[in-house]
Amino acid sequence: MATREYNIVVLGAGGVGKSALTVQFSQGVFLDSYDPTIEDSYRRQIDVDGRSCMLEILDTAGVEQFTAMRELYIKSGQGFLLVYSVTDRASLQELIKLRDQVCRIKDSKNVPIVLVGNKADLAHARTVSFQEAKTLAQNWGTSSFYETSARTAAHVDDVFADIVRQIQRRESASSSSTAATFPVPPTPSSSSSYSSNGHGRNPSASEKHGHGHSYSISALSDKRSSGKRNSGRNSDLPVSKGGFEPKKKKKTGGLCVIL
Amino acid sequence: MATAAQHASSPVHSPVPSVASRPTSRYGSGQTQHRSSRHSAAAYSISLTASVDDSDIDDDLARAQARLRELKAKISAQSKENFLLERDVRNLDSRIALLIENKLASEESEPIGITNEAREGSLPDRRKLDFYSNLFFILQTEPQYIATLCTLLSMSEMDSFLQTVMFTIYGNQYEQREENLLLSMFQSVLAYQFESTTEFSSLLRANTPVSRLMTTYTRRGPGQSYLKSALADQINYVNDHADVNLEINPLKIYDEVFQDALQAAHGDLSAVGIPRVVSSEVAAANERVREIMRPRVELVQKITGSFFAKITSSLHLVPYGIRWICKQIRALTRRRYPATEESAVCSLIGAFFFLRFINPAIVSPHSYMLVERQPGERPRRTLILVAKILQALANDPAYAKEPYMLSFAGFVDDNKAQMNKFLNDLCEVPDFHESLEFDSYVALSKTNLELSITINEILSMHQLLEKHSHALSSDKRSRLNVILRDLGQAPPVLPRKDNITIALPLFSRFQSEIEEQGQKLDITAIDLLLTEAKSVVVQILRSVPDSHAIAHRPLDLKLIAQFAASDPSDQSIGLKGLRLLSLSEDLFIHYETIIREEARSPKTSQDEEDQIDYEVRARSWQLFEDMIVTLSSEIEDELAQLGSLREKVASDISSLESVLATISEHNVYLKGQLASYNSYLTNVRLQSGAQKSTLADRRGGGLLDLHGKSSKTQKSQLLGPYKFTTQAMQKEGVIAVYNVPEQRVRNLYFMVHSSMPGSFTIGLHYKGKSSTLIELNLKLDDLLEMLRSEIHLLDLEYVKIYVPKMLEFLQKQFKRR
Repeated sequence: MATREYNIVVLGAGGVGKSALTVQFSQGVFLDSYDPTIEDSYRRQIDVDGRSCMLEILDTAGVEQFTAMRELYIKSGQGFLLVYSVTDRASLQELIKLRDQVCRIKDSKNVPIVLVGNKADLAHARTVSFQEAKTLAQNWGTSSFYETSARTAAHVDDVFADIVRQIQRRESASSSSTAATFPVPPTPSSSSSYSSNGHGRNPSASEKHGHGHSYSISALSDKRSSGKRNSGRNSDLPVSKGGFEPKKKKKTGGLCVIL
Repeated sequence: MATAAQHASSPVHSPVPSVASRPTSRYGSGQTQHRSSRHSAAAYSISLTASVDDSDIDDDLARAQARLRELKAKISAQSKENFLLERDVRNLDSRIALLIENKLASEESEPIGITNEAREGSLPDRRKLDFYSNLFFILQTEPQYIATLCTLLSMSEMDSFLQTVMFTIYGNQYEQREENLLLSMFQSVLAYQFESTTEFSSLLRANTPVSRLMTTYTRRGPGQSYLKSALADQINYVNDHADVNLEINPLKIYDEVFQDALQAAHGDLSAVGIPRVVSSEVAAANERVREIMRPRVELVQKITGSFFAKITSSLHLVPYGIRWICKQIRALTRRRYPATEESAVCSLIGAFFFLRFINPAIVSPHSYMLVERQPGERPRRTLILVAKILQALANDPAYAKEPYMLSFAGFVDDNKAQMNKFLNDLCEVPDFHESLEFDSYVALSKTNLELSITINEILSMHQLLEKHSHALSSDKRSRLNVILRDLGQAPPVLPRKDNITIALPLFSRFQSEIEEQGQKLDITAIDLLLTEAKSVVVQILRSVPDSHAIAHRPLDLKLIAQFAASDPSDQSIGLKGLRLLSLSEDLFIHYETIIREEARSPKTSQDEEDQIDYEVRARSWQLFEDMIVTLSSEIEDELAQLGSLREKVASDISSLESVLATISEHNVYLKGQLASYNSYLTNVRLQSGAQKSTLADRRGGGLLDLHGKSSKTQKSQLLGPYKFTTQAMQKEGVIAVYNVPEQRVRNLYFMVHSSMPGSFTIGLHYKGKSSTLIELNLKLDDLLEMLRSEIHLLDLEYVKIYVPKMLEFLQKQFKRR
């Protein structure tokens, strides 16, 4: 099967954990030192719904002085992770403008975007509620919203799988010719996973399970126990956990169950 | 540098005795008197300082001081010329804006005529304007209000607020007084930021009011010209080598290798022999990749080295304000987090200087006007690598992110010490509070302070102050609150078309008093006390010979204060000594208040109360003593920079010479800007479909005139001439008044043609006469400008034209598509 490349750009304010999130995803480690990003790129191959996908991830500067470079990033990206910190209200507000900018440059309201609330493990410092950000995502016409913790790796993989699916869906919807480059058309089972996974086709379903909707924040600090606790409740969610490369997930095996 | 660091981090080596052992009771007698006479004392000390400047202490010094005065005079003159040029530039700028606005408005097919009714009542009346004059005087001279607002506003309110603050209230970037006031506002905001941040690691990291302030500040003229001198050559060098590929990410190099192999195999994937996609480890281990990578890494290091060398050698060109901010960051870090390692302090300075100032300009030089257009892909990548390595140098790198950056670990290690030295050197600038204090008195006596400000800037500021008046000043009798009360409720802002720029004179009706800074802003009260104490000690020490007992290191602040307070030979020193004693008392009281706040609990017995009281005093005392240690070492640093008065004068001369050079450079820059604005204006005129006059020439606005530049395009653009009768013009409302006998009116007619978009020639003719009675060349922006300045009638000798209708008429008749 041919491996497709996906250009993903990570955007958001300074200090929200864009790099931590990206490095957690691509290298399976948590960065805890302050090293402001100017522009970094990462690559990781994952399977999404049985397809091999090469993710080319561009991690960008959050420091506002570098915003002149954004336009270029947005032009080159196919999908965007808009990251804020649940401990910093202003960082969520910044995303509103950022999303406008993405839509304007892409000249579309339907750009693949995932809203990501990072630092969900810092329960004591939280200032943005889950519901508030979820409402914002719904206003944007997407249910692709996750709260993540780069520290515990909670939901980090889900975010990237979601953006890949969005790009795939957009491409197959916009041009039939792309089918030629995808040797494996969506199977009935994988397409059903879209709707039950709440990727826009079935908003009410997504509302119900909502990514992260049912997890408790305290559970994030100990993913093993929370994984157990939540696995029964969420076992109906078709998370493609087998798709991720196991060798990179040494620290976080079995984690994806917490939804 | 090293000594400074040692003093700060190891107080053991500087066992400075206390200034006062029981401050609350010790200076009881006479204290009240000091407090009430504080202002006059300060004023007095200023007059003495001035007289010291003039006295002939020694001939060299006197000559040097004469040279200093001469320089100051030259700088003032040159600044004034620059100011006029800047005003012209702004004028042109606003004309361009008018044209663009008008174009937008007429595209939306709205009537452009600005009627009298729309203006009616939109301007605040005279009385209110006087209040606003007072209000903005207070805002400008008492920066703590703006500082407090910075911490209260939302990010969305921030932008237009900062616009007003940076470019209007403190808009005069080359005037020392405004600059110093702006910087002390900065200091308050920084201090607040340090106070409200609980964790060292998150300091100055997120996008906050402070970072926004920093961006806006570094974007001002001096910062931009520094970037140009420090970076332009190197950036252009990289940019000119557009073909040089210095990608060093093994994955990307592997892609190149693969593409080459694919090409060699004529596109036959199966013949390539290496996999298309590999992990970064495999890519980095690939022999060919390593071969390509090695020389590139070397070259990138060389280029980065040349950037770094240029930056370090341009230390003296860094604008004072930016260095001063670095200094504040260092001082605040040492005060708040005394245990911080030197390298962490440096990385915080680097987080401002490199992350927020230098590196953004390196990675997007076009948006800082260092190059003309966005660099191509390859130079852009090289510049990003340079910035990344500089960032790693300024901030202890972890290399945990992109593994290939480890290639530069050797380079970073080799240059780390020099980087830290540079960052510390940046902080080595003198404080300005002395001159600020002086300036604030001068400002009171100045009569010609004024701001060029739009009505809406005034009204928006009023709204913000109204919204936050409680947080700004709880004292109902404070000057701010008195004025806000006089002003009444803030009116809504005006529609854009009514928003005009006015010259708002600044004056204070509270002539006699200068409020103390410390009392007004609790968030930085302690820092302001410390700053003043520092400046007083420095003044005392500079007035005695270096060999004097009180000047011995380590400094003994108690000794200094007592010596000065009891010095009968010099009254100004005596006053300073007393001031220092009172400052140290205030400082202790502040600490005590803070500790007591923390210790307060509602129900305690008398015994417990006593016990708590004792503990509070003990802890406050400890805090106070620690601070004295820090303060002493800061003062030693300060003195090391100042040297003796003579050295000071010498260094002032050289710095003023460089100021003069900068101002002269700026003068050249402004003239260039004026020229390019002029040609831009011509362009905009061409595009905006209506016309204008050369009234500017008539009015002698002092603008360089480049109108001639457009003559090439003239022929193809010609519309008309068209003939219009006076009746037709009257019907359109264009003619307001006839200055000729009625029977002759019918013989008058107009010939109007447009030689190019935005430019109209209007001729007034009399039937049967071959020559034109009067001809006027009108440009669109002239008309718009007249409207903005509420000039509604244009006198053509025989007739008076009603400008708004004229504008409508011309736009209708000469609509170009």
